[in-house]
Amino acid sequence: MPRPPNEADFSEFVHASWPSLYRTAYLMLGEHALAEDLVQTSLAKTYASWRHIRELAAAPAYARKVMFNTAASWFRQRGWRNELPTLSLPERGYDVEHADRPTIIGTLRQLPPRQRAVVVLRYYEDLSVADAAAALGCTEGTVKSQTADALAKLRTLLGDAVAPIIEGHPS
Amino acid sequence: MSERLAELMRAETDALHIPAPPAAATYAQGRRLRRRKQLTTGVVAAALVAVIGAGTAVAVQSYDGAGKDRRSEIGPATQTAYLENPVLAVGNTVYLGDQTTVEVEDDIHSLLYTSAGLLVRTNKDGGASDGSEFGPSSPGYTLIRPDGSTKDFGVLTEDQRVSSDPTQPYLAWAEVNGEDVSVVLLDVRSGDEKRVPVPGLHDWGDWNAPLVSLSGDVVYVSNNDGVLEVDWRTGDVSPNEHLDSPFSEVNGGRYTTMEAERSVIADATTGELLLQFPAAAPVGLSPDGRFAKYGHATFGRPGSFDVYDVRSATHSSFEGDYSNYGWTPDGHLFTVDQGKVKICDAVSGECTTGYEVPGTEHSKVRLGGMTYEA
Repeated sequence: MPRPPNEADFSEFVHASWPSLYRTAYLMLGEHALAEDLVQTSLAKTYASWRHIRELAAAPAYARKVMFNTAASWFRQRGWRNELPTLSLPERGYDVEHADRPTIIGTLRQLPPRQRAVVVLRYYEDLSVADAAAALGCTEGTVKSQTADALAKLRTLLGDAVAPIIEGHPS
Repeated sequence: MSERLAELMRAETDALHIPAPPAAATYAQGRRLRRRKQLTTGVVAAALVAVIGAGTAVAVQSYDGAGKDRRSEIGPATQTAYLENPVLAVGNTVYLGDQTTVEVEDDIHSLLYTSAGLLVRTNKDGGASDGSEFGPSSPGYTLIRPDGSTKDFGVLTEDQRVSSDPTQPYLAWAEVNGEDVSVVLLDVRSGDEKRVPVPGLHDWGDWNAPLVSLSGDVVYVSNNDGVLEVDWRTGDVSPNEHLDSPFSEVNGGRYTTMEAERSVIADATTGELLLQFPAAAPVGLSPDGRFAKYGHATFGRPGSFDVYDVRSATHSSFEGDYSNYGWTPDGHLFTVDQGKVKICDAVSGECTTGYEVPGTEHSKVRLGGMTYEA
């Protein structure tokens, strides 16, 4: 019978869940430091509710949901725009852009944050429209329109072969 | 075609270098959130310490003194030891965690807590940032990670107020370029800097730059006209109606003020009065803002002081001088007593004597969690 996770489980959970959450966060935010902050904040919130999680198997989905909610709340803050108002020096020591493949992260960075999040949730996390709407705390209609707008821009930037055309949302 | 988009995103993330999870900082932040929840739900606090030691070792990115990348293993136990144990400097020797010692070349002026480790503020010339008579100078900074590895940042600022938060990996200060003022946040993990413009600051008296205090996502910036709140994450700048200018540090979103006939602790964002003391006397918040030293000894009770739990308003009495007790990053009190460290629980007031610290009779002693500079 499944048992509720204990405190020791959380330590392992942090290390096990970090890479996957970090990848998604990085795609959504396009910046390493922000991605790290988002995942750390999400795991801290998960820890605060750890005793209320019924079984360990439910923890990854819970932490993911917390992360999407947290990101959505950041996007709702005044001043959070496509270009952050803070100036950052180039990051060091992480990934290397490969010149021989499309730079999807650079393209995603050109989308407004919520459009970027919708694209990541729909096509990277493979969430349905309804689930993406629930994760971001918006309506399904908003997800659809944001997706259509995002894909239209991606098609311009990456070509038709990359970004799918959504039925009912030609652009 | 959506498969192609998904494929590109997967390729992007497959090529990512994933940094190690900042386990200690996550726990610290989680503990604060849990305490906040407990504050509103009344749930009894639970022990956390044993958990962290149970984790597996974490590979973290770290650097040697020359700033060159290397890998090291910092286990959760090491990071917890940093949070829960005394941090102090005697002469040029820094003690942290489970008796880890690190030698620092220059004179040590103050010890600043970050989630990535201890930031030591030094001065090559003996310097003046501790208020000595040798005139202005430029302090340098060295990060000491919980495992004792170091990274030198050199001179970052003029002789001015800097600020850190034990739950954040940043050092904050204000930078003045002609008419323009910015808040700078140095990410001590990577060395990257973020700058947030702060308009409307013109007069900061005799200081080299406006005073700052970092607490969570907010840098409080003070000049003679008032205090501004800068959300460094979004860049939003708004006036703060509650803090006096110039103000003391904001810790865990709380600040202290000594008024004519009383001292108070209040919420920096809302101004809500959290605790008031019957007489005006110095009050020193713990780095996380949970506890406060109340230095009533100034008014007739030499040799003792009280430590309050800000949430419950309960207190314990301590023997000794208020100013001789520092704070660990997680809110334990500590001091050096007869050449040995003594660490105390802020709630129960119980103290235990720890390891020996040589040289305290003839060397300058600096305690973590204390402010030594203007």
